[in-house]
Amino acid sequence: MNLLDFIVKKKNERRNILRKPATARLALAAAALWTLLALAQATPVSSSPQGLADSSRWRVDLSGNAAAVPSHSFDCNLLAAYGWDLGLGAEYAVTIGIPLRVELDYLNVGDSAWDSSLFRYRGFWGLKFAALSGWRFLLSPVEAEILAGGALTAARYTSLSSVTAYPSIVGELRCLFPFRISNLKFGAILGLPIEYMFRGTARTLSAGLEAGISVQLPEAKKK
Amino acid sequence: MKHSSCIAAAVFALAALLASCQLASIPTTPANRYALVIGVQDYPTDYKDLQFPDDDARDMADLLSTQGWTVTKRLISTNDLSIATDGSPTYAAIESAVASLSADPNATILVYFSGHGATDSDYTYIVPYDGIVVDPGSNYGSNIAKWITPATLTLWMTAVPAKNRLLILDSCDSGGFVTSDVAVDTAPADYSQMGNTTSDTGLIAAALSKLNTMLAANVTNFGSKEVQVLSASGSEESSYDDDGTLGFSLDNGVFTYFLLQAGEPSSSNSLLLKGDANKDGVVTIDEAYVYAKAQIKLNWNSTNYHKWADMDLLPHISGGTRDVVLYAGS
Repeated sequence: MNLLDFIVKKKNERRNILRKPATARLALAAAALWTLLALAQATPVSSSPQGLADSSRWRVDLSGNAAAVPSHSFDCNLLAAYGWDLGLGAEYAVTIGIPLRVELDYLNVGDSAWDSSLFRYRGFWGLKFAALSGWRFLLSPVEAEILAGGALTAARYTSLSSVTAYPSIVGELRCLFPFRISNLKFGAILGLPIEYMFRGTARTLSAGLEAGISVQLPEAKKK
Repeated sequence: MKHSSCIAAAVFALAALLASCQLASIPTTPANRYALVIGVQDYPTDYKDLQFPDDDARDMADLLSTQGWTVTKRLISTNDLSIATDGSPTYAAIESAVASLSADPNATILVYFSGHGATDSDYTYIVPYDGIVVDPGSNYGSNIAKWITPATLTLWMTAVPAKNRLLILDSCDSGGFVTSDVAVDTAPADYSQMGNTTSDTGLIAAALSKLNTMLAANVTNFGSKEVQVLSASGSEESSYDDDGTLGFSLDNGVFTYFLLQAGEPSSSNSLLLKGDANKDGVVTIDEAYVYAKAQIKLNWNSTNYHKWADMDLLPHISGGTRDVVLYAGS
């Protein structure tokens, strides 16, 4: 076996390992554990003046998210699909956490991969409203947030006249990289949003990579 | 631990998920796809006879046979001796034929019906052969006990072992079979009453129209069985046989004509079918719906005569999460 064949064989072996859903779930669990351990050792924002929102403030953000959106049902294993969304968010940040974060997202999910019986999950687009709360940590100089909550989505199946509304559980791990322009405090957002959707006969998981920008609203001056 | 660890963990988790989600190509067409085709043209009295359901049923059965389906039975009532039939499409025969469609829990089943449909204040129906009776005192009598409601047909179809269930109806008021707790059908029940200008209400308005029902059903329906319904018309709308006004002969019901056309080879590329919108080699039930709807709007609803006579119609399709291959290619 020459070197090129050896490399291709090794790559294929690795790809085959990653294709197995069980392996992927284990990897997800390991990554989540790793992240939690990292956050447990982090410093709360309240102990540092360098945090993005170093006092109780509202901040708003605009972000985009690209995600894997696989679905499954009682008679079918996970079928892959991909989607994206654009979102507007507003959150009230206090020293120890985020009591309230609200989001309004436009989302679009494509048709899924095929089941062997020749069905796939329909693509859809819609509007999602989410409400979350959670904690803040300082991972100097970055601020991290762990948020959890619920969402309601109104969705239309792509090209069809059918509209549905479904609930979901949402969670987000967000890192904010602070910077200033003039007197305004901004944050570049890198996040890992996760959503579990209750869609009738199907259950759908969405996990993606989010990027965006946040700005802290200036405090109103007292007369 | 540095924050870079967090980011690395997030990226690693996402990569693992993406690796497990590969959009594979379309699988080979399985052998366990079974269709029951029903055409009720000749009823017990000539007064209620239709013109083309026997052609609809024959043509649909022939096409499905070349597109990956096993047609288990053709229940057709006709005076045309050239059309093969496995029996009269009575209530009992239809019930029996549906029950024997499949014994395979991984199968896909399809029921196609062309014939009379009806609606009253409570239900929508399809009318089998024995739903009409000879009444000496009148032109005909209705035997409503033999009319089939959406709930009855859904019960029959969900009792059959199968993974996917399709129901296609070319009958008046057939949109009444497009019912669901998990979705709202925003296409109008009667297209002509919309002034032919719009067919859909807005997303938010539709979602709010039965929000609580949909939210509850979307949470609790996991494990239940769906029937995907494709109907020729709305729930308050007639479906038509070809009336000869288009300048060429359809020789089918209007809806069935264009539904069949979605499964014909494309004129520009004989390897693709006309309804194959995304050119992936198959026509799904959604693609067939989109094709038939567009062609009916373009060729039938646009004529002044059909507008004037309120003969325009709009196909409907049920909500639900699944899209199933209808025409798998030859």
